[in-house]
Amino acid sequence: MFKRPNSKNVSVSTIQYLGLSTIILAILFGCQIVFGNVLTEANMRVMAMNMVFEGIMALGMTYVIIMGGIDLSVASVFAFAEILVAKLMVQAGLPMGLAIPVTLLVCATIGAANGAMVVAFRVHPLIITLGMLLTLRGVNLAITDGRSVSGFSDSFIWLGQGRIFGVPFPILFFVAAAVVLGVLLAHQRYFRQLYFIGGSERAARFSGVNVERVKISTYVLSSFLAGCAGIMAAAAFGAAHWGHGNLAELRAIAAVAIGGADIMGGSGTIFGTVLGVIFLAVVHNAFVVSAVNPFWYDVVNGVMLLLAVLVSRLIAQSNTKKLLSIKQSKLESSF
Amino acid sequence: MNADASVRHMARAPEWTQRIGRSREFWLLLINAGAIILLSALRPDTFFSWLNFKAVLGLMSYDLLLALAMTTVLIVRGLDLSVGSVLALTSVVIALLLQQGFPVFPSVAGGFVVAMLCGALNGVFVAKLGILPFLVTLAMLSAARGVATVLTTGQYISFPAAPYWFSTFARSEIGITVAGGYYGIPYLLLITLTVTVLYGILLSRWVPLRQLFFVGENPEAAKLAGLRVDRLIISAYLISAAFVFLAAVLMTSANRIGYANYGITAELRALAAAVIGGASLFGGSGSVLGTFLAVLLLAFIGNGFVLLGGDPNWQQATFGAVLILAVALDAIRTRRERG
Repeated sequence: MFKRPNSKNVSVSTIQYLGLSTIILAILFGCQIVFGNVLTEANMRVMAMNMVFEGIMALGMTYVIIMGGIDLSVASVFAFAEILVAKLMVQAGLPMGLAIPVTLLVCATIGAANGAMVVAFRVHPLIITLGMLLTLRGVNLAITDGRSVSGFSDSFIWLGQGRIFGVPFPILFFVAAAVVLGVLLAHQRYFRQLYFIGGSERAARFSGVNVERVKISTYVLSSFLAGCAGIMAAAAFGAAHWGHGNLAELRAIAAVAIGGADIMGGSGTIFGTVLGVIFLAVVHNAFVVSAVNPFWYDVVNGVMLLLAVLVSRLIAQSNTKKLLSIKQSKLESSF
Repeated sequence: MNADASVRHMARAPEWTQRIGRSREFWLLLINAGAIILLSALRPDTFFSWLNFKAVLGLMSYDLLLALAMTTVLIVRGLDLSVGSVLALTSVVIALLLQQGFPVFPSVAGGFVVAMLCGALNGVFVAKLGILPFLVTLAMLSAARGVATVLTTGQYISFPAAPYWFSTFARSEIGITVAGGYYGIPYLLLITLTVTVLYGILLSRWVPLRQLFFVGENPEAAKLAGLRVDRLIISAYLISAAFVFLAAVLMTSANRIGYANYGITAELRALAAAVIGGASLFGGSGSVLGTFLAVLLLAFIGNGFVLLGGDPNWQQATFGAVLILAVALDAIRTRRERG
């Protein structure tokens, strides 16, 4: 009896996922029927590679957003990782096995700095990560003079272009990361705390959650994933450039929001985010195959984001209404 | 009684200095003065010339207008990430209309309508539908830039047939001769500064605008006190759009082209300047003077980079660092005040 509101909540989010999946499939098959050449192996690969780096960033962003934070700096961490790993290998001559861990370590440190500042200054994470975004993008521009860095070894290139059973490595990385992070988020006690903090930070603090530690580690994770994406992107593009990943932070956030996470924190799943990423990829692909002016893509992106937020807003409203009516009926029956 | 009055008088003086010491504008003014003195000492011939000041202030104008737009929405606990792309869209619309041979005023009016439409959409979605301003204006950022790019296919839109005065007015100057020296003030700067001063006075004196602070400070209380909160929030977004429109007109006139890539990442600079100038994401605070001084400071830092022969590429990194520094200082200050 008392489980009812809970089970209803679950079914509502399931409806949302089903709806999103239906739209994705409808676009895919619609394009296939009208234009053809959509469900081919080559097109699928292109489609996936177009969005995979934003997708990896969106996974970390999901954690941050569930916690009630936001991380705008991922785009510049992404480009920074590209540039750093390229400079370490091409200009400093470090072997790949050393350059990649160093780069990832630096990216994690940037995340730690984000988290520490958010905790210490107690301002909105938007401001802190905006400062980091601007600073790091400036650094990216300055240390490369706006030129791209290239000249990688073949074994490094494999990280971006190599295939296992025909699937490019970055996509495998994305899938593996999504599975691991999804399971951790759903079942691991430490990561369940994210929902608690996102729901009510004060309540979490009072019930003994180490909010500071969870926050810092989440920002570390977000930057770390952006670093991974950056390294693979350098390999995939064959060059590192400071302009790569421009606006990627917004696409990552859009994917998370379309996936049904509440931007205020407290709800969201990795599965939803993955659907959001696939949705963005499919919509982008629809523009490519339909040969409509691809500039419309940004417009549709914006409208889709608004629609998705509106839908999840309406669902949240109906949920609270149901919750209130249940409370009311309980109150009445207790009299 | 006499003693009492003198005691009160003595007590007031330190309080007055304390208030100045706590005022953000005062410190920003000091830092600006410090920057000017430092740069004048290091580069007396190049920095301390009217030509250089004119360049610094002229380049600052657009950022100032966008930062004022941002400050206004921040006051009502909002956020407007779309300032840069609405600027581009407005500029493109004006340029396209001029190119089609429309007279200046209908074209500019067309731009105004577009800007206001964007502002109204932002405001309605935020106030009436209760969606987070971050998401609404993020969607607008994407959509407006997209429409601007679709309209122009990414190309410059020039308007050679437009009246001469429109394509020159932002750059033309009013000459003033003071003490034998000639100082030309570009209209761009004159208009921006006039609007800034007027808006500053209105924002601190005019009741409807004062209500914006009330709404941002505590929307619930404002609603209970009988303010039309929704309407005030929407008007904040409309004011923001009006500033963006003005910046778009000036930019189109000064550059003589409409371009879909105007104002890329301008929203970030505007947000940084507004926050350094004292606005908060939690609403209820922000001042025109503070924002102005913050924009000025960022402009001087940029100028200093160029004059001191520093790599101009580092300029952007400094903006971010200044933002983080300002936030850190704020955190230290509030912590000390709380004890």
